[in-house]
Amino acid sequence: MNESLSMELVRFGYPSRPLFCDLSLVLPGGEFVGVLGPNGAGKTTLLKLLSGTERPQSGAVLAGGRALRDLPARERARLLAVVPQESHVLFPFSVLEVVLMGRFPHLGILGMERSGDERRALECLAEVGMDQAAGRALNTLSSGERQRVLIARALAQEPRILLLDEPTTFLDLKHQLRIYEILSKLNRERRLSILTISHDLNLAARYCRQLWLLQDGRLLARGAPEEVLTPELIRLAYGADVEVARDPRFGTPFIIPYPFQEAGGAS
Amino acid sequence: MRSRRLTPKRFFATLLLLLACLAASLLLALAVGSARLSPSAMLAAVFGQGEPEETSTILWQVRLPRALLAALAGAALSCAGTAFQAVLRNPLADPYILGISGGAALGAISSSLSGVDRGGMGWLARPLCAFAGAGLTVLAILALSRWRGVVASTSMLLIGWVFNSFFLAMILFLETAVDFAKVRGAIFWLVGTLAPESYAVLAGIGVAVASGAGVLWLFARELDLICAGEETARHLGCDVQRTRLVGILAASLITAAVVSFCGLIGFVGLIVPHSARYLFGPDHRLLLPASALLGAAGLVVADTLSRTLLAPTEIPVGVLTVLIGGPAFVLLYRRHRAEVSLE
Repeated sequence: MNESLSMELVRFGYPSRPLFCDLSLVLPGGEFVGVLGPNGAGKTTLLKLLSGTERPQSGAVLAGGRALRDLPARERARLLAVVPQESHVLFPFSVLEVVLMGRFPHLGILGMERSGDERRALECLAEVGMDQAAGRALNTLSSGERQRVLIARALAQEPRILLLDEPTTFLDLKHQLRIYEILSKLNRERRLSILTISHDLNLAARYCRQLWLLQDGRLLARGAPEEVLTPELIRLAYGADVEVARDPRFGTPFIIPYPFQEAGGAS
Repeated sequence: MRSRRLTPKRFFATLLLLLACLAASLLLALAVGSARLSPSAMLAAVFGQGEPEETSTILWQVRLPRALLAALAGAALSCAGTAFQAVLRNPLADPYILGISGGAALGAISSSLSGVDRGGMGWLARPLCAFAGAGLTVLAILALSRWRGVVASTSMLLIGWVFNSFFLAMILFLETAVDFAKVRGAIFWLVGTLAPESYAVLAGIGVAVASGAGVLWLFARELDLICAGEETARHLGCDVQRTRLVGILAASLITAAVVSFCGLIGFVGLIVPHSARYLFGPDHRLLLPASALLGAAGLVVADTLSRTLLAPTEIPVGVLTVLIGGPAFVLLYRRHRAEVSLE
């Protein structure tokens, strides 16, 4: 099965501001892509287009070779899962109940989960190290724990493609690392295609295999971390002076930012 | 804490327990009243032997139909409240608070004042007009409280409150303008009242409530997903638009069926779903039927109290539910304040 997710000549914008103009991109099966770019570059909009939340004004989004808009909702949910940045769940649903929601696209006509679904949900919770919290109410967890539960729910969908919107924004150092470790493992072991938006250049450089650098709705650069994270490109995208060092242990690029010295260039 | 999934065993055990509660409440309603009936007299009446005619009339023509109407109304309003809380994503939603019942009452009144209910449709005209009133009210509330694609819960409550006041004023105005003597009739709509209805009417209400509740139950899992967020629900494979539309129509239908015959019984749709959620968890597959049964039993008990507390005077049951519901709303508001003012 073709598990790629792609955009072809997508045009999209808001009334006040055009954003993408004939943008074409491919997330190949089994890839781990980090989407970088300054605020307002269109990262979240890109994710909304790829997940089908927004529809392109022209052009198409293709999932597994088929137009995303033609896929029935449940079939799409079996192919593609989305982890939102933050999610507020109304009423005290337990962690297990929230993860079981991920089984919805797999439910039969009766709409009741079977013991197999529960086992699957618990496995997904174990995968993110949250199986001990299965009985707790989601709203009593810390943001790091909640984020892991949302990842477990996405995994319970058994998708081939996982899209994440800045999954580490509200997390402390330990949990940021933990989330990326989990994603990296899923990508390696299950060949899950992953696309994640990130503000942390260093974490993205270490874990993602490919980076996309967006600016003003344009794809400024795309490639392996060492190709994308150059001082010139970062200055162009973020308007910041940086030095690119090398991570002593992983050998990946390591960004050290400095205040911007020259006039102009910043957007 | 619920660390397991909802199993058929837990589902049926819970509903059986609640059915037993409902049966007990119905027995209580049959036994208690201005004419005191001994258990033996009741038993005799049930088996139709050697009892005074009067006992049998009180049981079958007065108390039972009224208790059944109370049960239907309680079940319907609780189910509707549960559904509205989910589809509108507002923990303080209730058909009464949001003016949906008021819209239904205004629709019902318009049908009798305009003479539609003396037309070809017979007694069905009134509930149909009530349904139109309720449905239009929800759609208007939803449209007005949506701002830039986001539904703000607080604005929704405010708009609903204004709608409610407006509808109540309209009802008083219409009834007074047409015939001053009818003001008493208006009072009937403003404070919900239960009166014995014929078994045919009860069956009609029962069919409407059962079909509405049944449709809601088919969408129970979708309601759970909407609680997790609209966009999330979509990503999990739920057709949010369709669920919302079906939910609103079904919940409006059952609200209208009750309001047409009982007037405005407030806060049942708020208190009962929250109690049921507290007791049995938020999963709508269990919550919807559990709320319905709990609401049925609850309103039967409330009605029994309203008949007996100040006997021989009767307190309209709607007065009683608001007296209990008002303070409960304040408590629930404090608990859900973060959620209500979130967006």
